[in-house]
Amino acid sequence: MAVPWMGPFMLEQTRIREWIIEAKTGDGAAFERIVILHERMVLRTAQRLLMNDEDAKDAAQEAFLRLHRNLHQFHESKELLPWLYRITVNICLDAKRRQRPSPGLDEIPEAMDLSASPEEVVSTKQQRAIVSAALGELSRRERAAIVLRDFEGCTTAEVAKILGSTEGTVRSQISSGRTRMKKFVMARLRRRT
Amino acid sequence: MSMHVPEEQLALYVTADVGADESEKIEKHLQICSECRQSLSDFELSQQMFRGFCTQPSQGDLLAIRENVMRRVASRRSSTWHWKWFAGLTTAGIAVLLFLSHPAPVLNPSIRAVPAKTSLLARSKAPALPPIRNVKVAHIARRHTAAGLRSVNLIAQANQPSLIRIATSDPQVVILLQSAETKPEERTENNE
Repeated sequence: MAVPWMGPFMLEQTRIREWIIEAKTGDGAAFERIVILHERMVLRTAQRLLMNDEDAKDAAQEAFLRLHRNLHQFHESKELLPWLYRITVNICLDAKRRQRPSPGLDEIPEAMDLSASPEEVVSTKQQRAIVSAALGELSRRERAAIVLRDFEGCTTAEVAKILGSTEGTVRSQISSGRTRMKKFVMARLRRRT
Repeated sequence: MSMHVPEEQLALYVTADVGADESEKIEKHLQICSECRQSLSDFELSQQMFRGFCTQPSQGDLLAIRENVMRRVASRRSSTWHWKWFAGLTTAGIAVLLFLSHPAPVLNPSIRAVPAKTSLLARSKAPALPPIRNVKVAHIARRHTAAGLRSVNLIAQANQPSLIRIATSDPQVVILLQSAETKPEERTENNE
């Protein structure tokens, strides 16, 4: 998988396969190594999909437990990362239904200067609130596609593989998702201008 | 391309997710259309905000998740083993109870069960019993060729035909040999 931040890990595929085989035999240390290698990606994806840190931590934990439970079904000749992404996305999409309230729009600033960059105009917390609210406007599938493509840096083909969909469908979801998010963000930024 | 570029296409163009031909057409149109340039600029701005949103999880959160996961994995593994042990021991216990509570087969209702002590006594005190001829098998509960010999008892009682009771390793297989010629008076004399 050509995810930029995964570059160094691409060399580790052989080692990951060995860990999977060992973990399948009940080796806890091997499974822990798999967790350490993927925990950042899993938690980050969950945070972006759920927009709530506590829910995201629960989802990440559940993703690894589900991975452990179903590891015997996984063939080590395949790549683990897309499978783990899919587990994480499915858990997050399910969790979204019974989610705690996300950060409110009251954190969005009242007035902004559009001549400056978004980083200069709004604080990180405010940006987070705007993006979070914008993501909240999307359907579950659109959100998953946007998070994987724009936030995780997966290619359209990889997103399609993770979501079990076609590239055409994913491209359509990304396109409509970005358009709706752009409208939402720009409407917030231009509110007082 | 004289008409405006649809926003959905610009949404893909902003990350070069359109084909080369389409990309070329869009570029040409953008040179002459300020409205589409503004729209593209908005897309770029929102993408910039998305990238700013990409914060990394804290090390403390990662450590907490890892510890929780490994603790639950360990407890699941141990509970699996406990369950296997429990299931195995329960099955073994049930098997033993069934074995012990299984009633001894009634081989012949007409033959009264004789305590082992009586048979031992009879064996020690009745050396002069006549040889048993024309022996017939009274009853065999079940054919069991693999059963081993466990004990042989001579059962002699007054006014009763003498019996040889052969117990096998299978508790359900007991062979009784009954003498056809033994007379009650002979046995009475010998027992005295």
